Amino acid sequence: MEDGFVALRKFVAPEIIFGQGAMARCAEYAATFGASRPLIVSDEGVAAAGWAGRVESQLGDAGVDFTRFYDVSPNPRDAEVMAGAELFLRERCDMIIAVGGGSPMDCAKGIGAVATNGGHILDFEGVDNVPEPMPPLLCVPTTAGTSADLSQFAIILDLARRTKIAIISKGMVPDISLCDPETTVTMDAELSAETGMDALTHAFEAYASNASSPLTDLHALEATRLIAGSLALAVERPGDLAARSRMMMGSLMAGLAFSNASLGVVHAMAHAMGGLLDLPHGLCNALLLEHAVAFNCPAAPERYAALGEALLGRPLRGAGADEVADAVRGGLAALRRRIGLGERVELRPLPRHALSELAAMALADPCVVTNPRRPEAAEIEALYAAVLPVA
Amino acid sequence: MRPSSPSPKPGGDEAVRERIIGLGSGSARKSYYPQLKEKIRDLEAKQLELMETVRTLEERESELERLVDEKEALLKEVHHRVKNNFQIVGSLLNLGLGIASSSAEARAFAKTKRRIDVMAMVYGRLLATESFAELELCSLARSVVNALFYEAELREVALAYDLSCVDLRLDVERAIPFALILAEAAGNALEHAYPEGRGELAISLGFARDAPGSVRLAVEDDGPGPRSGGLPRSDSSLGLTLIDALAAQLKAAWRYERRAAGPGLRFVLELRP
Repeated sequence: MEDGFVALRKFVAPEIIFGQGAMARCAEYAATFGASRPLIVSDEGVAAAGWAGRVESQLGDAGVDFTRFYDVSPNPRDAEVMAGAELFLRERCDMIIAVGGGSPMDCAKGIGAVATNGGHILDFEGVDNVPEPMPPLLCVPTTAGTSADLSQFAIILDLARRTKIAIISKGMVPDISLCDPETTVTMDAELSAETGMDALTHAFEAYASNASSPLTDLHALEATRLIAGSLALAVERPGDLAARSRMMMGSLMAGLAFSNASLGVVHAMAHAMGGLLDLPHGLCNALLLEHAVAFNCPAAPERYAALGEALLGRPLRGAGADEVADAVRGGLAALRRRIGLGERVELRPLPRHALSELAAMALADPCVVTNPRRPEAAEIEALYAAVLPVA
Repeated sequence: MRPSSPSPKPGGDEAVRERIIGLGSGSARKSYYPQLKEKIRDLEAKQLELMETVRTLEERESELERLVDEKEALLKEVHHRVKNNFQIVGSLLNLGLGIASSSAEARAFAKTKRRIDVMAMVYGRLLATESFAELELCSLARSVVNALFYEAELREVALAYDLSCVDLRLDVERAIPFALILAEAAGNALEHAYPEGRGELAISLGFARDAPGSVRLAVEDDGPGPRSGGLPRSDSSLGLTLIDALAAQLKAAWRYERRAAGPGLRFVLELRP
């Protein structure tokens, strides 16, 4: 691996406000960006929890008119992005405020890209394919996991192909992230667990990435420590604001790390699997991560040793690759079980050829290029077989 | 469900990796600034274009103003010269008057001079009012009659005007025949209607009440009327022949009639709309 202190590196991040009361700054930022009609992008779940309404009333109190777009499903679809962009243009909106988890935020990014550049959202698939910057985008994340409020990634479900496409562009980095831990207390145990494991996977894959750097390492390791220490607490005691705050900070740091170091085989596989089977993204990551660690560890044992120390709180450096892999894998499995996530996806068994289709899609995903070990299709199929029922 | 074919990664994994971590060409975080700058440049170019158009229009306007001024100066000069020429002709006639061998000859000179003076007066008024297109009729009528009246030296003849001339204007082409006709009619009255040197001469001018749009001029004396008893006709003198010809130029009708209240003659000219 190249020396991270010598190699040329870049670090991109939005303006971030973190802490209780952060979301109350919405109206102020609408004024800062000279917005006269923001489009609020959210979903019904977040609206039901009251967070979208909180943003609406803050804008209302400040005399800012807004337009709502709440028709976003989990794993946002290309058609939803296009409908949102059409609404944005028709209502002459001039800013986007995303309130929610990864789905509304990714949808909001897609809406912004289409509103400015025209064309179809699927045209922007891949890296650096968004030529013009989108309108000002402010995010209020309400889960501690996705980090779409920080990253250059937007994942959109191509419903026709039943696959998730990745749009990766510096222009997709939001302008403002208002991280208010209070918004995460309304998540139930399952969502808290899945999104938390998503954040942990971000930290792991960013740290193990072949594009990691000192700046991303710092965030990835600290994120691992914070998530390892607070995820189970946040799941078990949903109202524990201290645990929720640590989770949100962990998620934020993991987001900064992966947005700049990119990810690995877990995300490449989770995108394919989540798209084909319409599964929660966090769950896919949570189940795949420990198997991917075992696969990757021989290629970067020191990296996984450092991650294991952060995860387990005990020294691992100097241990052999197998020992590191076992320790980390065991720690991840223990955490997964403690927060109530199963061993495998509960589905009717899939035909054998579905695994090779998934593997092909995962190999085509841009996330795979920064994985520390270059996987073969058969290896990916084997990883899938560990978590998916096969006929 | 149809399997998606893996999309090719242009340039290979290494190139994709470079671009994801932000080191590819064109992978800098985008800014609005270039677009704004371009918009501002466009607007500035448009503003310059508009200012140039305004400048051109202003130049054209001042050029037109200069041309109009020049035309006005030329016109004024022409009118001035015409008036001077009339005055020269008048002076020549004056000289002729001085050496006329008979009173009939002298009267002929005097009448001709009077006609020339009327034409000079029209041009004089044009110059005085600086309105070269049109003349206000009532003040022209008053000037023409006043000049004749004072020249006639009939101190016991009263002169009465009834002029109502709101917006009564004629262009110079028609003002000259009008003034000449008035001068002939008023001159005839002053010459023939007051053998005793007393009486009243009434001039009225205004829109005719019984003929909408028509302008009516009346010159009325309270003299003894025509000696022979018949009303003056177009062929009875040079003056009347002149009136007839000038009225034809104006497409106007004229007539002499007996005064309604007592003896005397009334000359009427009607200009149709």
